[in-house]
Amino acid sequence: MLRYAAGRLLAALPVLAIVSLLSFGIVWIVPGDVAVEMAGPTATAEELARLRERLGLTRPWYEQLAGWYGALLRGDLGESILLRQGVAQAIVERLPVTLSLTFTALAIAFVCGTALGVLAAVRAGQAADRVAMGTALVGFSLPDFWLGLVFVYVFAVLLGWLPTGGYVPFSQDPAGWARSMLLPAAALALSQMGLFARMTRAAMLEVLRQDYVRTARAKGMPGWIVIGKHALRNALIPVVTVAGIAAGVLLGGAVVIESVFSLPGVGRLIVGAIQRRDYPVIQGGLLLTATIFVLVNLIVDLLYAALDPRIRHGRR
Amino acid sequence: MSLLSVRDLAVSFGGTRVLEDMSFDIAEGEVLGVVGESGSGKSMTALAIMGLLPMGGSAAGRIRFEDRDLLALPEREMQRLRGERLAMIFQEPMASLNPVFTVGEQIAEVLRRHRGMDRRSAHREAISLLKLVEIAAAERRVDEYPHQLSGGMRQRAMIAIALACRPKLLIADEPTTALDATVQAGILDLLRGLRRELGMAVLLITHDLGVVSDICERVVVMYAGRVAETGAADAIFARPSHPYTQALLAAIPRLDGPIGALPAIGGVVPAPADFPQGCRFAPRCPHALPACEVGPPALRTTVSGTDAACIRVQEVA
Ligand SMILES: Nc1ncnc2c1ncn2[C@@H]1O[C@H](COP(=O)(O)OP(=O)(O)OP(=O)(O)O)[C@@H](O)[C@H]1O
Ligand code: SF4
Ligand SMILES: [Mg+2]
Repeated sequence: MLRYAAGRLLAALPVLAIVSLLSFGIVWIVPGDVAVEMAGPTATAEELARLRERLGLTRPWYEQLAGWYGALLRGDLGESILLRQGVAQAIVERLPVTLSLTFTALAIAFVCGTALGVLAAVRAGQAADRVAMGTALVGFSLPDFWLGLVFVYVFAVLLGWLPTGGYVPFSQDPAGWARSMLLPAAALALSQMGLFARMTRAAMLEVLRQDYVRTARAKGMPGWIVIGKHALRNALIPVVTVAGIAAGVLLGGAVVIESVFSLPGVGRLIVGAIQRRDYPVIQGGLLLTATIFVLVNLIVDLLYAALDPRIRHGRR
Repeated sequence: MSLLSVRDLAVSFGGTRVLEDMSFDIAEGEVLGVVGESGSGKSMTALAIMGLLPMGGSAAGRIRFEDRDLLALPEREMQRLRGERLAMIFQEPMASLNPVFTVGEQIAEVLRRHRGMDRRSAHREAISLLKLVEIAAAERRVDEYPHQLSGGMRQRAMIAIALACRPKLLIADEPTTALDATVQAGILDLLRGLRRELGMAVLLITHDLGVVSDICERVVVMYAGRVAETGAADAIFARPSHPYTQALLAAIPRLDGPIGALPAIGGVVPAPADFPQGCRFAPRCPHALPACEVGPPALRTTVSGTDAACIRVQEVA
């Protein structure tokens, strides 16, 4: 298991190297002059020169590259031109919001989705199956920002049960944190819940036909153990793959949801940076997003191995 | 009184009857062999007894085990019997064990369920069960996963699961068909030894007439979802009465090979939807007469003391 984990970790390193190179390269890839883009059409030649100097664009590319990696290893992502703040600091301040949102949504989507999927598979072809899959389809089809707006209107404005938006740090007030996360996370989760439900149903139907499920029944195990232990443990293996992809989709969706619920997260930071051509922040955001992806995939690989002994032993 | 008594068992999928008029008994400690070509309904008989018919299948008739009527028993009480007094092993040892749990966990689970053992004593008992089924290095194997075991070892592990609670009846559905010849012999020796040691009854389903003559006291020969002939193994092998039994025995040069094609008669078992009106063997039977196609022949006692479902059994035997 340790060897497997170390192997997955090593395999992730080249990906990170490539992404960091791409982040560095953005400034070179964008058409036109980065300084002009950032400063806007009204900037004077003098202002442009000063900006180029600050961005280090006047130095040869290899010096810039060396400087980029040197700073990166120190955890320095440069300065945001507009926020007048270190990029790393700006991200770290907002990261808990985005991670809370994404992973609460992932947890909701996973738990509710697999539960729906199991129910649908066990009652395949019956009314419960159709209701569960109908719910999944509806969740799958409704856009998350629309759901967010509806949730705000119903649960915050009409019923007044939950806040309309804003973020409460977990460390400050766990209950308040949960209240601030519930609506945005639910709005974000619903589409992926549908995905989990469909995947789980398909995987369960496949697994329920296997001989070892019959063996479990031949041993006299009660139905809920046959389903919840013997079948589900096997069905979860393909579902976990989806979890990796879902985490990525949710991270992307978080950008919009943060705006709907006025959550001060990384998504809004990056969107603002793109609108205002704040390249250091864009670079940092790209690097961060890619790093999260790599980490999530690493976690998925480890979960895989935890669920399937054949992978731990290097088979399959 | 017999341990298991099956009367007029029928199994249907939707409107299709794949099995009917199935009756036999197994006494305590007895080994009953069930033979017949592929598709004759052997597995459906076994699964009906276990209450584990595939989805859409339903059983009718009577199955009495000890003093219970299994077909009338609520599922909850069937669960108490399965794995405890009534156990089954399957044809595919590769697929029959759960790939994500260790062999020990899978054995211990039965003991914890039916014997209420705690984790540690169940684990210890799992090791002694692996020793009982003659798996070497049981202390190490107990914590291994199915993919780390050979086919023969997996089938031994399955047997360990089935025997964990010392069942009164073990149903073995072609337990060696998927294994190499040398491994097969080992598993059969094991089964033979264990049933003598534990005194349990065995319902042994097999393609292999050699195995039947070797370890079974009585035999049921099935054809196309019905009993063709049943009786003492010695009598059936010494003097087969039903034309189908005769063909089966003629198909193997010695009593130690599996049933192959039936060169003497040719043809194949019809599918359940195409079962003939009368004797189902009629299309392939060298002795068939128009009278054979009237209705399914009832069992009648033969000169060798067996019961055969053939109207001409007096003449052809
Ligand atoms: N799930 C099912 N739905 C419908 N018919 C089925 C189903 N399973 C089996 N049958 C039919 O039931 C009949 C008996 O099948 P069974 O598996 O009992 O045969 P068998 O004697 O065990 O054969 P084999 O030696 O191949 O294992 C076959 O004709 C088969 O087509
Ligand atoms: S009843 Fe007729 S067809 Fe059937 S086995 Fe006997 S002789 Fe053959
Ligand atoms: Mg079979």
